[in-house]
Amino acid sequence: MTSLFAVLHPLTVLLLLPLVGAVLLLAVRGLDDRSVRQIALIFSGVTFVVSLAVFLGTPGGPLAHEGRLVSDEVQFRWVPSLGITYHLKIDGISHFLILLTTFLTPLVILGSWNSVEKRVAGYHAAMLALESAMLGAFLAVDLFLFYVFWEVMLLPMYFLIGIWGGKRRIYATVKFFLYTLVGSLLMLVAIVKLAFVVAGLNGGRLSFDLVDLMSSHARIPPSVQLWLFAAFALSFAIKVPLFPFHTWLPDAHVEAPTGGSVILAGILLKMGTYGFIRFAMPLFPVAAIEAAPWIFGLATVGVVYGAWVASVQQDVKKLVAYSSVSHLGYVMIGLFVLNVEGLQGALLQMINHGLSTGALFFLVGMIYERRHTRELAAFGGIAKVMPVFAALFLVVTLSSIGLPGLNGFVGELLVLTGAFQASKWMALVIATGMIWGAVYMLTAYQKIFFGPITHDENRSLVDLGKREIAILLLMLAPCVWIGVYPRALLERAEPELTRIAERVREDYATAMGEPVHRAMERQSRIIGSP
Amino acid sequence: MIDPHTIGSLLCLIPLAPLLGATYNAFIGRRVAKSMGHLAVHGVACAAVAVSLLVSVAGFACLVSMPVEARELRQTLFSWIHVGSFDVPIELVFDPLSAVMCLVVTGIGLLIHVYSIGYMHDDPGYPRFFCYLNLFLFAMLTLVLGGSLPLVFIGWEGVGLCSFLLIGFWFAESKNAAAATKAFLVNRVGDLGFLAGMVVVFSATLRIGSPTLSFSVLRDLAPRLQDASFLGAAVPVVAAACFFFAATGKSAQIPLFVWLPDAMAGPTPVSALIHAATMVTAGVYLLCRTSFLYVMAPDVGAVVALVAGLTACFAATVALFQHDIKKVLAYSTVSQLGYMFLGCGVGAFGAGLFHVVTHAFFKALLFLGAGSVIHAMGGEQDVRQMGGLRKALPVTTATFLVGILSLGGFPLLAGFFSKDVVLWRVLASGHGFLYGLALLTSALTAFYSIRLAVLTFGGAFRGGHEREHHLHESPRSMTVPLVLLAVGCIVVGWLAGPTWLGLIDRFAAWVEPALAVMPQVHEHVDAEVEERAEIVATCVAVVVGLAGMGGAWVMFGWAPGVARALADRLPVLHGYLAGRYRSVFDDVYDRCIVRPLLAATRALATFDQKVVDGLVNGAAALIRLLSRSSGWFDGTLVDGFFQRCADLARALGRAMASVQNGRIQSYLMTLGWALAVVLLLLEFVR
Repeated sequence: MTSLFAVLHPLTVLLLLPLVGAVLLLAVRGLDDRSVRQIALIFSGVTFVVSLAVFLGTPGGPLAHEGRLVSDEVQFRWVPSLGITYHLKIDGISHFLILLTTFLTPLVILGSWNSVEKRVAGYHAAMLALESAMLGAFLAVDLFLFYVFWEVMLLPMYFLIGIWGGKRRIYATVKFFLYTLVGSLLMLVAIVKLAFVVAGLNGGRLSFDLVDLMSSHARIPPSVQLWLFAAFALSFAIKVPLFPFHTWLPDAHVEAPTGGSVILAGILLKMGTYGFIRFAMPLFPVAAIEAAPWIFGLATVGVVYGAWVASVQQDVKKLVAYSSVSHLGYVMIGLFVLNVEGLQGALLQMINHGLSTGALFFLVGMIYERRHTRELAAFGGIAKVMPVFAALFLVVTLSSIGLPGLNGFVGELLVLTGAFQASKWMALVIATGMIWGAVYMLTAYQKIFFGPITHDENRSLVDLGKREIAILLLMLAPCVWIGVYPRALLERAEPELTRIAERVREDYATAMGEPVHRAMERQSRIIGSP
Repeated sequence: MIDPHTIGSLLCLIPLAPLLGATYNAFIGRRVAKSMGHLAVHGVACAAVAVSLLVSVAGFACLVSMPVEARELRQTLFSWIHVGSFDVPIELVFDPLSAVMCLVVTGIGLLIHVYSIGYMHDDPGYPRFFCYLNLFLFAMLTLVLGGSLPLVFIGWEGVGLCSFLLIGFWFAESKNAAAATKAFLVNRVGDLGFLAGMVVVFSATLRIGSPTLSFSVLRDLAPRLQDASFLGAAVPVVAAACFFFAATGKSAQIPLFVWLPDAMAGPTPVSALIHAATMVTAGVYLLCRTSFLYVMAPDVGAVVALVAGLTACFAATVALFQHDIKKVLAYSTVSQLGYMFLGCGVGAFGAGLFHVVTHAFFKALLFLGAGSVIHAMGGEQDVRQMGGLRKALPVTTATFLVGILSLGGFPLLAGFFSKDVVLWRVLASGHGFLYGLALLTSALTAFYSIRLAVLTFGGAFRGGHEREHHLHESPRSMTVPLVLLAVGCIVVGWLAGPTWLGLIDRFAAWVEPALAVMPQVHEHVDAEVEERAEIVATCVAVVVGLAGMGGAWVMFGWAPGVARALADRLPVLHGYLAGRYRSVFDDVYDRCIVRPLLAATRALATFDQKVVDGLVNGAAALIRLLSRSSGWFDGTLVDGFFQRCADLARALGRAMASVQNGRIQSYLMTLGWALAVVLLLLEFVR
């Protein structure tokens, strides 16, 4: 009975539902395109409902006031001889990333309703399989299980870019694949090594479970920690992408189909930052704190670098891709300052970036479907012929550049406040990001929408249809909601984030063999006051 | 007697009513207008502002009935951001300071809404225009009602957005679009100061154990911040400097004023409402709101006063040579804003704020009058094409003259009183140089004001027969606001009834409890001596002003040849002053900031492509080369023992090649095998 419940646990259902849909789409032959789309939409929609139910029903959720409605954890042994477990857990951090995943996927399917024409079943199967893999990566707390999902995630994306992509899709997708693979293979080695080191400390009991690994990881010698952290960090940094590991991103975005870009920017990039906060930092506190100045340096450079390079791009997708480097720099800084403002801001920025950049890619896709180009020079004066498109594009732009009242601002302010406590100069440099962001977004907006219409092709452009407006309004609703009432999100995430921050600090103290306050002093010398 | 509690709970209506109006016109206004006409658009928009005005008036009445020290209404809606110790509630505060601003913004805002009914009548973007106007009022009212820095910042950036939208209202012209973007970006540079100030203040209060961003708490905490230092300076100094930098952006002072003259690309009611009467005074409001910081940082105050004095004088000299009626008024706005900051800089926040109020009246009047002129001239803005308009536009002429005289500081009009207070306070604070500068500026102001009036309305019409035939007075919806504003210009100055006439300065008595007071540095002066000095100063100001007006009248009205002759005598100087002089800052920024920045971004993009990405592609090429050469090595040289090594290399090469071909299955297989091997090994180790 218990095992049956374990199998049908809501988290398992959440994880497998999209995969079932994918298998169905591939197995059943002779479905017409329309039914394929409908099936995919239904599966992803139900997945969203399940994730929402999990969000509301797990401890801390509004429906769980009277005891837990849904347990937030499922665990059973998978490969007992190696200590590999099937262990899923959802908490204040993963809740929102999972909701973002299940929210974006149906929208992506809706968004490609007319634009994907070839191998429709394959496309949707890949999309659903990708959703399962991403959910798995966000849910897994067994490192081996996490690694499996982390790798599996690459495959559907590889196909999405390689089959449904643009002209240079093969180059882009191979680059994407190999680049991320290099990092993740190192991570695999580090995971295995970590398990053995910890097993050695624990009397030989091998386990890949994060809980077990964290129970005695503080005793791992700092030098070993540093190497293991480096391997994890490289893998995650490539995914983020942290400057200078970002060059796969513009190519992948430019060649990916709209849906691929939305998922890539919206969720896949968050895998990197999620990996840091969930695994790399709590597992290797000493290394994380020692490495913080390096991360700060790269992320700070990334904030300005990404924005500056974005400002000269002629291809709108490339522009948005480089802007991601800038935005994700904020997230990295927020994570590593290890104070509650920074961490909350970072988590919020992860969600915000998913929403506003996802929406930007939707918008770019919509104009691309009409004009078959993304060159800024091909546009101009579009606001005249597509007023609704122009208005929605503007709101998304404002969300992206952090206008107060919309989502981006809250996250930026929190990260900035957190960063200021670590380093005033760093805070000042990343604060200039608010100018650079406005520079590249608004000049691009001006070039696309304002001025006279200079190309005759643009005169006959048709404004957005109902389906497109619906997608964008759905994307914007949470942007406004987070901008006006971010508390719902912040409150839910706060316990977990403070726990991680405290834990890292305490473990750091233990590892350094110093009382907490002494270690804190040392830590504050390294990354600033907590 | 109005119940403070009731009014307090209605406060949120002040910003929310225009927000609802904006939402209405954004989504359904256009559709309803199809069947009901324009009324469906402007009816709702004006009604929304009227609601704000009514609540503001009620709030004001309520404050009046309260004892001086208790004059404050508060409404807390919900907690906006709450993270650890970072807590920002959505809290609106209605105190004497915000009351003044609310009344000005909603009162003048309503008049300008009404005026726009006539002015924008034929524009296809009619609903969009009123949507933006209402949205602007929402942001502006949030700015003045916000009880904490982040809330003010919502309004601060919000008004910047609306300014962007309205400057670019006629976006099909590239010039307007460029002006809009420029305004937004320059303002963002200033906003960085606001953000920095906010973070500095928060961190400082966090360090002393009571983190806050709310004004009322900060005001009490401020003395304790004096000891906290930041990068070698006291926190109040840094914060005050940051906020002033922010103010130079929004309120168009040196170094960030460059966006305002370009902003005249927007429709004229927008210039009146946003770029003269309300939004550009937000910086002055911010300084008043944070006055408790400035009284602790007298050095920053001195910088504020100096920057303001220079801005006022510079902008006035530019205004002398402009031919575009709106450009004259724009530079005049920059100059007058300088006066306001001058007051704040010497610690006379009340005087600065009073100039905000009078300026709102006469500058709104002038812009709306200019709009009426432009309307009559069919879009022409060049005063050289005008002249003699007094015959065709009697109401516009009369009201415009009231505005011009008020701006020029003609005795007993609004502008005269407020400018006089500022001048006197500058003198009393002992800043001789600044007083001289301000006095010079007031002469220049008087001069260009009269020049503008004479060129526009005096003499004979210069725009040709065809145009003269079409000249017409504007419709009632436009002239009524003009008349009301003109009445305001005559009346409102008496609020601060000059003390030397034996009247009470009611305005100061009203706002000063909400403002911080600069500690007196110099020794106490005998009250009677002071009063006599003030009268002398006023007389000096009157004489200087009248001299400026007289000079302009002589040069442009009485003997128009004089100006021409002077210009011909000094062609190079005149050419520069009438030409590049006004964009001297733009040119410097372009050369020293914009172009180097553009070059840097281009260089960085090349670096990214060639170096950063080049390394990645280079590594890939290297691996390909290695695998190929090892394949060759294997195929031709090695046998036997080396066969296995070579196999491995070849497998690698193939794996790479097959990946290149898009066959991922081989990778999967490799991965699977590798995993199996690893697992087996692990099992073995155990």
